[in-house]
Amino acid sequence: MTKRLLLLTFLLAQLLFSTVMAAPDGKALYNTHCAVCHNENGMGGIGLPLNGEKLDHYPRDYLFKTIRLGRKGRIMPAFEKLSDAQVNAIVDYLFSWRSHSRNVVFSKVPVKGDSENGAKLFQNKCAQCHGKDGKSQGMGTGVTSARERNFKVIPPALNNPGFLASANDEIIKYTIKNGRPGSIMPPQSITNLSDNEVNDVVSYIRSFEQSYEEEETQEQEEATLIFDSPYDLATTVENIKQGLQGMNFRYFPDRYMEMGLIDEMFVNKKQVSLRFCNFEQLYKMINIDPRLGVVLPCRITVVEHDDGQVKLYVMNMKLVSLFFNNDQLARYADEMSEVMMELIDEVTM
Amino acid sequence: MKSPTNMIKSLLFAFLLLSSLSVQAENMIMARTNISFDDAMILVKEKLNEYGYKIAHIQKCDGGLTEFGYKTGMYKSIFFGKFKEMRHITGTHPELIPFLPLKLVVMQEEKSTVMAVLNPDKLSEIFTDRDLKIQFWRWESDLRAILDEINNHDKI
Repeated sequence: MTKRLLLLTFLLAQLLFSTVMAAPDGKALYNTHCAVCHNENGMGGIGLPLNGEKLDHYPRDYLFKTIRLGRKGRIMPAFEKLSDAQVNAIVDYLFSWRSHSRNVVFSKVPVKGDSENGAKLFQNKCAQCHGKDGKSQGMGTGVTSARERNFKVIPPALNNPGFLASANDEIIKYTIKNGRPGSIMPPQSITNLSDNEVNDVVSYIRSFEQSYEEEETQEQEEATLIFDSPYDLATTVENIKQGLQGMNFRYFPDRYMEMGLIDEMFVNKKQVSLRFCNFEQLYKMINIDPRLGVVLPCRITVVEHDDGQVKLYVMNMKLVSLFFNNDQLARYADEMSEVMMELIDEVTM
Repeated sequence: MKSPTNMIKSLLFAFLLLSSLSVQAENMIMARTNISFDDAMILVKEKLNEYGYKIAHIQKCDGGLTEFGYKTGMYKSIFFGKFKEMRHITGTHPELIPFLPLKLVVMQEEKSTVMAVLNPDKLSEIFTDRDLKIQFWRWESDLRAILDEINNHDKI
């Protein structure tokens, strides 16, 4: 047995060592970690397009930090598990799509401007796309085409800690002056901003950072909400159905939890899943994040335990912010959560 | 003195713990394939079966949305699991009931098909029971392999 343990330890150590030592392949890493959202050729999807002329103007540091830090609350995760070499390999692969091989460098000297004036200019010139609060006026992200969108390419959130940590002032200034070719972001010649005004807008965008330090750490939510029902299983199920009807939900036929996994004769008939949906709400939420299906549809599972106690089990919708890294979705989920709580209060009274 | 089986379990647990220290699990495991939505659905079902999972049912979200007048590409959720696992876990850890059976969403995105599943290992940040950690790891390992195989299917 000791030999077996030694062998197992050796194999695990070798596995760790080979993972660390393998030379990173940027294309393979891109295909594994990025292509599902940004598409194989970088044309975008759930994520923004990465290809095109704009790539010519991104410095390495900006892309490196973007991958490493992600975009909090905007789906793009922080790739903390990748090594520096792996992140650099992905950046190298993205750079292979450029029209040149120059090393783009922007000065790190902060831009000086009047952020108060910048705030006014921002509301006038930028908020229509980037949102009054700089968190984007678009619903959702990227270019997903399977549903209706209010922008062809959803404008990025500028009021975002990941963005501001990745983009220094000069990058932001360059973008405001030159626009984004191939997108609706106009250049300075169209916005009619003077050079000083561009600096003011940059200073205002940078000032978003001041609010991040004040944000409190959210308490960890319970993943599952459990409620006692004072009624028996059949009455509880019936109460929920009536409640759903009253709240304008469409409910689907009840299912025993184990149905489909074993012959129906053997399923536990004391675990009933009630699935329901408000399609208007669903449509809005899928537009914001098409991956929502991994927790759909809304469901209350009613279980009669061996001691006769009937309990309701519900996924805590507030957790979606943890799973989806999507602030817009989290707001809708909070609303849904309140409706669900109201329903549960009603049916367990 | 620990039994050899428990020692191996402890060693495996320590390895899992070490390999996930200081970094959080990815929230989702996802794949994109250039095969059609219908073919992707068939492939997902085949792969799940190959790995010992049964399809419990398929929720046709696109059908409901279209019926209510909303524009959507094809969009379905596949519920799947293993009966014995499900019976055991819902008995010992009923708090996992809302997360079972496991779900995989298949969605059309122009000519591609995108698949996503909640990373089971993400749940180990919330449900910290040691036995569950191993279960979550097994699910993650299977789902990652399944989606990798689907992802590579059109490249063979």
